Amino acid sequence: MSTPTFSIVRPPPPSTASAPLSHIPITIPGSTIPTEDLSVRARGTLLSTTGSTRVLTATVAGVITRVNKLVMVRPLRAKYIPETGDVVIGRVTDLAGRRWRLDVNAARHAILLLSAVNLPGGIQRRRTYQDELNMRAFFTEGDLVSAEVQEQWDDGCVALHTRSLRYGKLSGGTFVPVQPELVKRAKKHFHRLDCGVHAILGNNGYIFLAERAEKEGGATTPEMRKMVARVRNAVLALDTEFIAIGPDTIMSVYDASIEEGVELRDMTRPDITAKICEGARSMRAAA
Amino acid sequence: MLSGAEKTYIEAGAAQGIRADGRGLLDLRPVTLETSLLPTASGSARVRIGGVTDILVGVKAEVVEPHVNAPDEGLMSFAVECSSLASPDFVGRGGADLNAELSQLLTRLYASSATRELRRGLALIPGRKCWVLHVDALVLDSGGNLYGALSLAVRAALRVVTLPRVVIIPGEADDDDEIEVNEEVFERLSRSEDAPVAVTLSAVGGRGIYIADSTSEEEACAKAAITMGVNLAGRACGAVSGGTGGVDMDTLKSMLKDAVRVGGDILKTTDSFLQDDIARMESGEEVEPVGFFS
Repeated sequence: MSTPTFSIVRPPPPSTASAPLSHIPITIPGSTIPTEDLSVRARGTLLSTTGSTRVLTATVAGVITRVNKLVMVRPLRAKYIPETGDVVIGRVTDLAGRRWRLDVNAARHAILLLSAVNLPGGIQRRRTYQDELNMRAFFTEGDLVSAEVQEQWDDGCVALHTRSLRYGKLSGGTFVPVQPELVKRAKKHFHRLDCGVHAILGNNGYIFLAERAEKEGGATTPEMRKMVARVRNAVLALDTEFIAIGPDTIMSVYDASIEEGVELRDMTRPDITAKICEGARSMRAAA
Repeated sequence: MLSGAEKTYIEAGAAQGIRADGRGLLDLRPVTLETSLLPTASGSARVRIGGVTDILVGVKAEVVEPHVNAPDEGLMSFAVECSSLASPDFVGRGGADLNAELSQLLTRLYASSATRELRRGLALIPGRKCWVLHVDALVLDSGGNLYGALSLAVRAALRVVTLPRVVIIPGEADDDDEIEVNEEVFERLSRSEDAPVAVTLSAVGGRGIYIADSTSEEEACAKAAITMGVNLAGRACGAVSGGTGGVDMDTLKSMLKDAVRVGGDILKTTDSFLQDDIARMESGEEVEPVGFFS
């Protein structure tokens, strides 16, 4: 049995590297947004009246954005805002009549209709009452499902579909939630990383890492398990350092951690995290 | 909530000795620790484990009458509150049960005979005056191993507690002795190193497999858990069992042995870390706390 290990560090002081961002108008809740008389307020702002003066204040921490006369604050951290066509990973929270409800890290749960999943055999047919009774055989509470956003309904709900062989229940791997802002919309969200690990980068910040892309498969070998763990820690490192997550940045951190000879369990140490992310940061700064 | 597939992955990983984050079975996640960050408390500490579990502890002291059963010992009272920031489950009265459970654990750890010297250090005039330490802990985020994080934070706070020096003025003739609190000179607690730390080992997957410092996902897979209080002398200061499953006798024995070993490791590492903080405190050097900006 291995000897227990344990590292203890002081929390890192707040970053003072503000120079590259100094030209971006960042605001915090409650602070005044400089406006002209004819500005139109939009999301993230509040018009407060003190006496006869009316000032615009921010309600979220973010970047002040102006489009002509429209003034808004785009939050730096927010819930996932779904868009049609996004690849997402969701966790089934409950079943309702002919539909599953999934947590997709958005303000509301997403809906997966029974008619929006592929039935085994792949044939197109009417969903019967029998199918409705068998819904738990497909996805049950707690299951992780990869899906695509099919449409947004008028009431603000989002409907998903899994009508492709790529989508469906996830197994044989590890689930990593990150901030949704860090996963950019791209042509590809299903990746086979250079190290051999398969990654699904959900637009909603839910990431799934596995040894193989197939839904079923044999046991994971210890070597492969360590590799998946290293990728997981690399993704978490990027999340901590607030660097956009893509196959290139993940592999940059992964390779840096191996080059520096960082032990798997040490990758989440704040000082080491900052060090192994340097390459990925400059990669994104250059882009 | 976990899916069956995730449980299988975690259990198979434990069987192979490699956990989802790459740790071995008895490895702990990296800890960040900061002490004396609350200027209004006699002693304070904030512990984060793995960047998730987040505990803030503040200790306040006042002079009271000792308990009749232990006239030569000071008192310690514990209050733990799970902030609703940590989980939606804690909103309203949701965390009440857990709050009681966690305070109960601390009370039990610090009531053990292994901490008697620590409590004796709080006595002022036997039977009449003693210090009471109000230890208030706030769970700001929970990501597994709450017991371990909480006990570590409380211990770290106690290690840096300073109390004003108390002078006992002998009473004349029939008068009782009186105390005078000198607010100028502060002293650290004696024997604060006796404070224990809790180690939780959770049985996951097959027989004889158990892990230390489990994440919340791993806790969801655990069949049974044993929490042991361990002090520097390697003595047990109370044990609590959790979970719905059972553990066989052989496994239990080796779990208890490993809990003491892991606990000893934690205590040694923390104490060598805290030495800097204590040295700085005693030299009166001012350090800007990172506080909540980390």
